[in-house]
Amino acid sequence: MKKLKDIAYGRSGDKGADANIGIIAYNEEDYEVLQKMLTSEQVRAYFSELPIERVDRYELPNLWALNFVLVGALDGGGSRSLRSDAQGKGLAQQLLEMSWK
Amino acid sequence: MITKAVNTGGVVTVETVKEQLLYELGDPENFLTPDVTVSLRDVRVEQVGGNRVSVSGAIGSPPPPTLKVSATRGEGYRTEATLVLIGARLEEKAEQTRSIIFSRLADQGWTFDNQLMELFGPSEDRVLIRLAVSHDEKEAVEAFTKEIAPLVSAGAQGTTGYTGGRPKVRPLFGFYPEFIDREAVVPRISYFEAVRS
Repeated sequence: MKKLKDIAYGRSGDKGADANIGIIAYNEEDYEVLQKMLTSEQVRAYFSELPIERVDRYELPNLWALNFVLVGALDGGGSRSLRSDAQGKGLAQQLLEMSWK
Repeated sequence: MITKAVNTGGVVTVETVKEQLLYELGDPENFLTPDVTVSLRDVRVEQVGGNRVSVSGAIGSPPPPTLKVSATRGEGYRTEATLVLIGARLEEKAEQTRSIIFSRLADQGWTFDNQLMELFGPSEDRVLIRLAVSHDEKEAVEAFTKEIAPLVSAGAQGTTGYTGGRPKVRPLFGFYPEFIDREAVVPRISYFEAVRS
């Protein structure tokens, strides 16, 4: 089974109580697939256990990258959340494990 | 140009530079800093040599009329504890462990609205459990920290891994990023003469 990590890499972190996940394709063709296929709704559904209010999605075609901002995902943010990944550092790694056709 | 000092670790490639550009990024067309608003929309990242990457095409526009204030407020206390459970039916043991802790705390008059148990594993015959709590009252969080060590001898069989001593009680901060009119902030710089010893 193919995974998102087979065509892309990523980085994630915190912005206050929000998290961001940057997903970057290894080449231009795969970016075009990502740009069409990887939606805010998918990302939100994948992290259904997080208290996400909404997911904003930004395209960076020059970098072959998508940036997702998961508003509210960090449950009050790094200083408040009781979760072990209070700063969302692992979210990109989790998302890259998503099954991908 | 992004590069790095010789004889140091790490790697400067298109991939690592792109990752860093996206790190903790919001809207890439309006990256706000105190001095400039940046658009990364047309940025180009190119490998121009070994551990040398050129970054160009970022477009600056005037900074926003506001500055960001990272305000925090003390909102109680927090702590976390980890234990290792060994044996079989580990999820049940973990749940039992949690219920022992909180029923003993309830007997002392403490209830916890904010508590979280995370399980790491199980792998083979063991699981790591992490319990985190927060409470308005410092005493409540202190009471929680005293309920962990007794589990090693009086909790579920195979409870261990209590090696770091009693968990530390730490203040809990709420974080409130806000914007204020930049005119409200007057920068002042003081210079101090270095004293030769």
